[in-house]
Amino acid sequence: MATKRRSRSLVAALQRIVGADAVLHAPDDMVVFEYDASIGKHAPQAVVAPATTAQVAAIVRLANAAGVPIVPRGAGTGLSGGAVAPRGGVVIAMTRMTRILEMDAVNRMAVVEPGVVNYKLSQVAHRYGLHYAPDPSSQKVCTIGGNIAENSGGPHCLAYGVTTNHALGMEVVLPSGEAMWMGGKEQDRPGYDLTGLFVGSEGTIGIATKIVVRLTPNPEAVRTMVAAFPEMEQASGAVSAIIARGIVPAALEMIDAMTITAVRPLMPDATYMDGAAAVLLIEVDGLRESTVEEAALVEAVCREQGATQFVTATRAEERERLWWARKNAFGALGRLAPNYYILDGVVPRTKLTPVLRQVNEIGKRYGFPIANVFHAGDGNLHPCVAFDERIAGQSERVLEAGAEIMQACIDAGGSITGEHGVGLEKKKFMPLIFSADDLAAQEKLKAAFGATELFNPCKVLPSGAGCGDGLKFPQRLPDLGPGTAW
Amino acid sequence: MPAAAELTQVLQAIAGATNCLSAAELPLYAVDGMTPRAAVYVRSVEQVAEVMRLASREGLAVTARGGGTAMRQGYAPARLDVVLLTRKMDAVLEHVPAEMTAMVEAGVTLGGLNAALAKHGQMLPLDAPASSRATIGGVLAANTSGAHRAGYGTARDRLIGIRIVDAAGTPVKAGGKVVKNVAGYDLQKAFIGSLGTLGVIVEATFKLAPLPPSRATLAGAFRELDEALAVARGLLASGLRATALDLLNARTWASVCQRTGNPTMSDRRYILAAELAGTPAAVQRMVGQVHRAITDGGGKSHPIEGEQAQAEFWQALADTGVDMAQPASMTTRCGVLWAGLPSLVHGFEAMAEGSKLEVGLDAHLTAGVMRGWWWAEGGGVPKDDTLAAEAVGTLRKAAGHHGGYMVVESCAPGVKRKADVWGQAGPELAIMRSLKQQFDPQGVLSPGRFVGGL
Repeated sequence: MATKRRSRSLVAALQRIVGADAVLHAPDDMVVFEYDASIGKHAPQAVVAPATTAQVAAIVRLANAAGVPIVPRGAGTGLSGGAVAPRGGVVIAMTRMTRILEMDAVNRMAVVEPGVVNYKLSQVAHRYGLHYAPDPSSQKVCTIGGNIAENSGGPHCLAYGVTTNHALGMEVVLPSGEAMWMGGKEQDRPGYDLTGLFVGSEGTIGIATKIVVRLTPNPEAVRTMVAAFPEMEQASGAVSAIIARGIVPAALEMIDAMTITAVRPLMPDATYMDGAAAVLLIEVDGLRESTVEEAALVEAVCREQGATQFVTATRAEERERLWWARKNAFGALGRLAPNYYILDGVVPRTKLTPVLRQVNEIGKRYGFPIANVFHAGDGNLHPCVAFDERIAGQSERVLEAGAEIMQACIDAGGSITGEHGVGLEKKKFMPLIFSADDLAAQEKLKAAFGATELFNPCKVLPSGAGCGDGLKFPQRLPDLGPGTAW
Repeated sequence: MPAAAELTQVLQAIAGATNCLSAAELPLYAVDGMTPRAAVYVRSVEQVAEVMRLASREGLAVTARGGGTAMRQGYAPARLDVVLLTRKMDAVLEHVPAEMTAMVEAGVTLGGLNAALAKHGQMLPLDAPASSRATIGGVLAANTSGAHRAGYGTARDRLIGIRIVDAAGTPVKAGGKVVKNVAGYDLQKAFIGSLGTLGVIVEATFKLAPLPPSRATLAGAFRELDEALAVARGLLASGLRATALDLLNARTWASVCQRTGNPTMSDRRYILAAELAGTPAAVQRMVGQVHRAITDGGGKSHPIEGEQAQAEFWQALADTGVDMAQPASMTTRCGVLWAGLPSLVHGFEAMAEGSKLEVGLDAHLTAGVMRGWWWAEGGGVPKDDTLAAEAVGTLRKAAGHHGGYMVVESCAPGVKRKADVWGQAGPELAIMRSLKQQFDPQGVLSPGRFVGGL
């Protein structure tokens, strides 16, 4: 009874801040906010969508006073559980703050609100011959604020960098409820790099309410190529060889045989895939002459490594057709099995071959087919482990298989997450790559920003009471729905 | 607080007698005129940890020093007991060319590292003055950068892993060995530009870049600033991706020419210096485009030919303030956007003229960062600190006029006593103070030197 009353008064207080139509509190209305693109469901107490920095600050202060957790959320496309509310509380959806506040083509910068969709920003920047470089696969849906929280990557980040290389400053509401600016347009300001510390902090030390981003000039020419290999080892060998030859491709992606099986029926013209154990997608950009020269070198390297098919595209529609397999792999794989657990591990490029072999072996041992679709150029793997939740024990065992794959990445000198973040999912793996002293230093960073147990609790670091130890499969899996691309 | 002799004894036990400097040598390692009580070469992470444990136990103020090329940054130290010398920690721990990454000890010099990487066709594309002496640890701690940030970014865009020893003597690592890594907080960023006030950097791992198959350097000399900037603006608007695009004034150009033998073009006041890199045909086209833009824009075009001459040119530019023959008595750094650049350039030059000083300017046009090197008239040392100190205030105001900032990167101790080298700390100071409090609660790491007196 007392809880219900407290809940009602919390909702009423939130409504006073943002207006009644920006607050959800009935369970049926909040179903979509119980999950993101990771596994698991957690019901919040309320969902609120502020429109201004002042409202965000007021909400945080209110939650602090009420002793209620808050969870900032963008589009909810995150794969590590960053936007879910394991301890309930108020989800602060940043998706009403969608304005592009400033386009500064001369200084190649933009100032945006956190709810601006990644792809939309690039579309607007295109009018000025510019684009926003970090392009996660979910870019048609995901938001800049979410990108900042996760330090998102995407296929073009080997050449162009990840979100932190394109974030110049931001206005942030801190866990205390205070709003402040860090960084800004002018670079190399004296002081500690608070902007750099904030990017990738997964919404645990503040909520960005305005973001200054760097824009990148569009390349004159883009050349996309696919190379098909009869053996996986040849493809991963080609990845290392391309880099070793001094080429930094704009993108270097790989899809394996299982993925090819899934997408091939949907791509009737893609005969180059037939019989391939792996297909590489390579993109080079820059001046026309440079793309021609680099593409020739890439083809030579691929053929040296054993490629039996090689296709090049320069026109937009053709290039999109070549990208189609990579971009729609997940959707296509969904036809082959009822459930997928998508992993995110990263290994040194030169270790791709042995690690992929281990992934294959783990899949066989557990009896799960595993499809590999990933950013080969960065060594960033995305094994997709197929399973069926309806079969008893499979959900638990798929998590175990995932843990073994994580360990294989760590043993190869890699890391537990290349771009999806730690969130809830990978907290338990943090001690595998960081010592107690390393983790203590990260706690100090949190403390310096005034992090509290209420501010997006249970994420990233393995401490925290009442949090459990990571993702657990619930009794009934949520309907993930369309549009949760990765 | 142990006496100097006792301190030296303890340090000798840690690092060996030959690695501890004698009392006679200590004044060479003074920071802003403050001589330390001891100076010790360390060779390993464990030794650094032992020194820091000692420092924490005894409340000793410690400052790390690599090549000593950026020691004049920041406020004068509040205290200085031990200078930790890192030059002997100079191993390249790992370089896997196929990974395009390298892990090095902090005492490796930037020049030494690049010489080793070049043999495999790779580079760490950072610029630093006196790169044959500047160490990786120092470059990171000072966030040193130069012209090539246009094409390759700065330290924060290259660092993928770091190991430090904190104030209590605990080794801590952040990041890793792979180019994509979002495991945990991006703690590495805290140490870049921190001037060693949060921890002593002992190891660093970088994402390297391939040496481009072809490079060209072209200078365009103009009579008027507007002409030079218009040409630069036009080139950038066309989508040109130069790996360096700097605006120099005549004083900087003269200094560089003196050391490299390029023609001074003394009837011209402003020079655009561009580097273009990529495949040969692409570079050829870019050179043609830049050359045409310069000549169409009223400028005189001067190519710098040959790999050697180009490398010397860009290093000479970075070295302008540290030229042994004419070291700058003060170096400033401003952040300024396009709109504010012309008035800032004119303002700085007017200030110099009015105060009987000379100023060499170097603006990295794609980054909005401008460096200023200051000499007394005739290229010597100003007799009076007051002039320089007053200049600082005026210059900072000029930069602030357009929302920018100004920092004095080096100056005489006398100037530091009279002027604020960092400028007023903004709203970020509260969190910065918290960070310092978390990582160095006793204030043993370079106390008093950082922004806000941290």
